[in-house]
Amino acid sequence: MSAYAVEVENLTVRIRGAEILRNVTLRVRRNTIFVLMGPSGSGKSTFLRTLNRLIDFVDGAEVRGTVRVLGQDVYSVDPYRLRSRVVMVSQEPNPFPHMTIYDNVALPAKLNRVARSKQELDELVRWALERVMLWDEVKDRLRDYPHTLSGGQKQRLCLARALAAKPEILLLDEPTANIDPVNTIKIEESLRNLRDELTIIMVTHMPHQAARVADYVALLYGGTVIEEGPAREVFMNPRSEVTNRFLRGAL
Amino acid sequence: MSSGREVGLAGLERNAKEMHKVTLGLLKRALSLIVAKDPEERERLLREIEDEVALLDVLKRSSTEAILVFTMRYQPLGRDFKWVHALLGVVYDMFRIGRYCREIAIADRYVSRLSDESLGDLKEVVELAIEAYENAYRAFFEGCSSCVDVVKEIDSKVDKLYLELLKEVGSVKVVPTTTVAKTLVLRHVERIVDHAVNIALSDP
Repeated sequence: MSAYAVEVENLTVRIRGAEILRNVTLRVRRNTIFVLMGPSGSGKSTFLRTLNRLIDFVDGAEVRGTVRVLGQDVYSVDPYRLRSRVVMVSQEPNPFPHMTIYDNVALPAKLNRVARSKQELDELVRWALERVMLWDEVKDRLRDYPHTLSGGQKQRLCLARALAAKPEILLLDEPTANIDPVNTIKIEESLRNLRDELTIIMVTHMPHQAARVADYVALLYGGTVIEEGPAREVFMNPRSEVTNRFLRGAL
Repeated sequence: MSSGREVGLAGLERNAKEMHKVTLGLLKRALSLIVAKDPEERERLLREIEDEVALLDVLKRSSTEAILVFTMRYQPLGRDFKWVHALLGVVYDMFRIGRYCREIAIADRYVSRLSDESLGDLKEVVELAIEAYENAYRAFFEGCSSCVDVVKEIDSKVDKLYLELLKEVGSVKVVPTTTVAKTLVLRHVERIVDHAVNIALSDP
């Protein structure tokens, strides 16, 4: 088994002729938190979408290069199977509004058949909600609907829903962009506690968030990887002037 | 137009340079004190050193607070983070150098005056300490890499002199008062040069 959960080589993505990613080569070690930083429009979300082939849904998208996820070329596997192992949480909290809190978390577990009995399902729902520090807040209202939750709680519910699918890779697209600092801290803490169980790839335009959670980081700018490496190295001794400017908020 | 962050960084550097002027002035006064023979002049220099050390204490507190406020406000990362962190250490090192100048003055007042001999033959070693400090300053604030080597070289020299003096003290049953004073002063000079080394090596 490769030490890397994701291996991307010379990835170029064009959308309706515009080059969004250019010759991106990156590798993500298993069981680490890898954060892709960069200013808005640098291609971070596009990169994330190529990993679970959500890019297939983008009109006029053209992908070149190699994307290997969990040892397999993503274009040689069934995309639905791929997405059950590589789960994404988006920027906007999007729980299923017509399902209860319990059912929101239970659904992917049922779809992925990771629970064999009602008792296992209950335990899994609890486990997922505990991992995102939401259990204590909702344990007495699991039959309520998500509209009763705050924005930050909804996002943690979405994270729990993703975890309940028992993915091997969790993709996070600016997961705390729209939530308050208390919920942000809880999500970051949850992520740090999860790294032993799965690989986390997160994109953010906030370098301070990357500094708080990342094991490894890369800076994407204009569709190109400017710098990558252990977070400590990049934040303490950036090699590139572009990185230094990004860290100063001057990019 | 400069950003608030750039203005803040420039302010931190300005504060530290203000401290540097006081520290350098203290070193030069300590040198004058060692070579001065007139008791009134020595008393005057001691008082000036006391005043300047008090000023240095105020500057150190305000510089440290400014660094903390800057860190809180801008949460620097990358080179800025390392520089600001290093500056905190440099501010402390400059303050300690000033304090050692005061220790030299106290040793001069209470020990060397028991003897008729002057501490004047320590002039060269104090001059070395000043040279080390000035080079350390240039290494940190001006990025002078050759200055780091100068500081290290002086550090080795002063360490050697200090050890030789200690050996001398340990080799006799009765140590002359002047030798006691010289040992104390040289011990402080050795510490001053150590702090200069810290400053020189702080350049991120």
